Amino acid sequence: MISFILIVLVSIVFSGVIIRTKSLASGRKGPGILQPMKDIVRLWRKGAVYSKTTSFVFQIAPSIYFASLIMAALLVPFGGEKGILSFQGDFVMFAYVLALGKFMMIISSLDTGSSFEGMGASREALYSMLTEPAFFILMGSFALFTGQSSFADIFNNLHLRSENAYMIGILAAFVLMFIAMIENSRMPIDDPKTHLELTMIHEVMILDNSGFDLGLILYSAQLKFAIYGALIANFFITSMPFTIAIPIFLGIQVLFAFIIGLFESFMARFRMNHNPQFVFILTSVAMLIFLGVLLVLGKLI
Amino acid sequence: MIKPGFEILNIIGLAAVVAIPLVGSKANKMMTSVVFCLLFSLSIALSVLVFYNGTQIFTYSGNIITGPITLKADYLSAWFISIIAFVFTIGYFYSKGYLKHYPERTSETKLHYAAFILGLISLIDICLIQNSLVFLFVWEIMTISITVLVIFESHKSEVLRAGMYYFIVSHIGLLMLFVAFLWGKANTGSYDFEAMASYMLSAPNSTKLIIYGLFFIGFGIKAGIFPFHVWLPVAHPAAPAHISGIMSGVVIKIGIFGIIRMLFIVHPDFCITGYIILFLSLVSGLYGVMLAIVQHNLKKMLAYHSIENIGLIGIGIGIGCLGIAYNMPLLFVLGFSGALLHVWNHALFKSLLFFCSGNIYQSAHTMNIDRLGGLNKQLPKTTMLFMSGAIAICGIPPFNGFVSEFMMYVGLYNGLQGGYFILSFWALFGIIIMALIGGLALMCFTKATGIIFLGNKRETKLEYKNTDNGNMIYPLFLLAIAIAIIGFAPFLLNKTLFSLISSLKVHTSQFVIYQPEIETYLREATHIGWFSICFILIIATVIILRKAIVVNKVKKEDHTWGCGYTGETVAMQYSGSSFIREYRKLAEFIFKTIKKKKAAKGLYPSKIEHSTHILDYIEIWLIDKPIKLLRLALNRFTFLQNGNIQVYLLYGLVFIMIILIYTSINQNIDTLLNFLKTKAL
Repeated sequence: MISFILIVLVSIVFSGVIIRTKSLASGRKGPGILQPMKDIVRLWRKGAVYSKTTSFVFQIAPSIYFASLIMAALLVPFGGEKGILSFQGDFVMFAYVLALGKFMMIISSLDTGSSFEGMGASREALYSMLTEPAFFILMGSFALFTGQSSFADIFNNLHLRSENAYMIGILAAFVLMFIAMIENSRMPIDDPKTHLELTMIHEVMILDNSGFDLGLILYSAQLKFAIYGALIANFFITSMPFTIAIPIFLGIQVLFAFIIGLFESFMARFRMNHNPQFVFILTSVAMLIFLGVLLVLGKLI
Repeated sequence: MIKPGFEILNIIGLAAVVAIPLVGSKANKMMTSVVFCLLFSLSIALSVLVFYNGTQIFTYSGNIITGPITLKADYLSAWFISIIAFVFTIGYFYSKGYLKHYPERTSETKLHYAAFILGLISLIDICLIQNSLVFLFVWEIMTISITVLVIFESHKSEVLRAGMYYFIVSHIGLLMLFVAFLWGKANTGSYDFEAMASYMLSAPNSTKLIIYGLFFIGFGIKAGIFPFHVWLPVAHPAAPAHISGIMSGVVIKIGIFGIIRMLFIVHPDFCITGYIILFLSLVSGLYGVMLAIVQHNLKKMLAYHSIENIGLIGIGIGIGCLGIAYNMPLLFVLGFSGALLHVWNHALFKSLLFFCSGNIYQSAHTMNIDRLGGLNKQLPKTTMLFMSGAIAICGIPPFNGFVSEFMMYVGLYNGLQGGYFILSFWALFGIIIMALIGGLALMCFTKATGIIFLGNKRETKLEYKNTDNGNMIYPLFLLAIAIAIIGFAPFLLNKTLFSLISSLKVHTSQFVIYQPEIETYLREATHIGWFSICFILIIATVIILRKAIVVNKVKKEDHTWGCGYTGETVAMQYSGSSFIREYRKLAEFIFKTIKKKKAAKGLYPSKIEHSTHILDYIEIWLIDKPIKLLRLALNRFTFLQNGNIQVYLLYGLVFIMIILIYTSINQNIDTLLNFLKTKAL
């Protein structure tokens, strides 16, 4: 319960923190932290324009995308505290629930019949396919490390084994951060502020969405960040008392947003055809974590 | 109860096969419908009875060649019989709509339905027969009837070729089964499976492995496991849609049935077998989906997806075997129940997708994904059905594909934690590949759904007919409902799966499993249904809330945003090939691409064409190249066939001479050899 509330709270300010970091890094004062959320609320109140080509898919896709994120947020625990829904193998459901959202968004962008949006859809499908193994290996390593197979149990037992858990946790945080960046199409993969449709991924998929649906999609992006941030934070808070855990959770989320902001300020986007190589790095780092776990457990011959 | 039911089923079927050519076409329609309803209710009743009353065995005296013929209706056969009956019946009612588009082929239609019924009863019999000679006989009847079904459009040469391809490849499989069964007969003196099973208990490990290997290849060819999959992408596109659906949904599953049945008869070393099955299944899963993405033909794409799904089923079987080998009951339960549940699931969504592809074909008369587009305006119901099938086949919740994949994932994660290095390593490998398969399937089916049904028509000349009615749509809803039921409430199947899993008897000393254990594991695994229900409730809430909010808002319609360009953008839409172009570049090492490209020349270039054609390396290496070599070798002997009748008579004479000389020498040959030996020594 607590994790869900915190995720929703964080999601309200997440983009704000990123934008604030970026403006500070470029020497501007920048908008208030709540500005992106205010924009979203304004969109929620607006009417919409639909393309003549589109069908019912285009109308329901953003809602399903949003629902899939709500479902995913319900599965995320808060350290040892279980999420609202928790069961054996819940991380498999986590990944597959997000996949339904992706499925709908991809076909909804193909629904518009626009070549730009097809381009974005194609890239989204490819990159999310490539990131999938990294997440599963990561969870596999931690399942092996703790001997548990649900989010809450894994995080609960993470630090009982040894101090090495923090080391592995940092590597895991690295992988999860980049998974989050790819899933949200942020800097090294995609530039959300670019003005050329040919080089966009996520932004180009939603060119035709407007009004309430666009607001829903933009808010979903923030929610997704907050969910991944919560997962990262879970690697460190485990079963601490709430008085310490909640500040650490919030601190990690802000740090996460801050790092993304810095990345976007000081880095250029990769060339599109180099992206798969970059995504493969994540899988190999995840494999490294797995080998590390085997080493720590003394299973490696 | 089961024995008379089985007899009536066969008699009705055979009587119908005999009667169909004799009756006029009007009466035929009535008769086949009645026969199908009867066969369906009989076989469903049969499997329900088995699940209520337990295994039933009955014996016919047989004749001097076959020996006594035993039939055993156990849980495994009941499970497969229910699948066969369900998909065949849906397929039959669908075919009534589909074949309306071929009004001139009345005699072919009669033959088609006769083969249809024969195929159904032979498949059901295969699940029951315990006598290897009769088994092979019925297996052959099944193969022939399916071949007849495939070549319905026999006036097309490529259809005939595909039918022959299927026929020949099936017989290579038959040969393997023949050798394995004959070996059993030679050693036990009877054709009975039970005799073979009891003999196998004392056989050495290497023999068991070789015999199981033969069975695995024989049944694997039917199932389409890598590298024996080559016939699937050839035969499926050639057959009419309902037959493709049935082949993919049921006929290849009979291979899986054989693999599982023989596993518990031959009892090979479960560790080695498990790893081999797991490896081949992982490869076929990945290979199938990787080639599926790049296909232009929708049916070919679905055929490659069948290979992928057979791979997933095989992964489950592999996990189950490893569970036995490492004495981990959880792996055993989740592996086999995942595999067996996926057999049902795949039968449902794959036949649904193939039937939808039939609607597309009859509407647009092309299966080329890149030529289609915007079909949802003409076929809204087919679109909905295809989408639900696509979501199910990707293994995405809340539909049924997720349930069985979830079981396998949990099994793999438990194998990972098992504490054995090699098992952990392989489980991780399995997890990576299953995750990749999931992602690739998503890419493949977003392509199929998005390009075929959504957007605008890509070829303006193409005319769509409305096929969204009658028999071509309503039976499919039953499939979709079944998909949803298994997705939302897999716990309804708990009892069935429980008796199914506990009926798989393992005769190794170190593996022990207790009944309550199976029950708890299954209960925990199928618990996932509640979360799928929860998920669908969240989706429904969000959609309803959105509707309530949006209803009062301004709503306008306009062109798709085209970067300032507001004209016709039909030809500029993304096509299937462009959607997967980046993927194709990444994965090019795994298939052969033949590209034909002409550059535009001059100020006013004429029409240019660009085509990519994807070839399967396995088909090239396993089929095309050996056949080419064989042909080269045999070409040397063409001089023998010179059409001169005198020469042919001479051949006969020479042959008789050789036989005579051989027999006369044969008696002396030993003396000669002995003579040589003594001389040499």
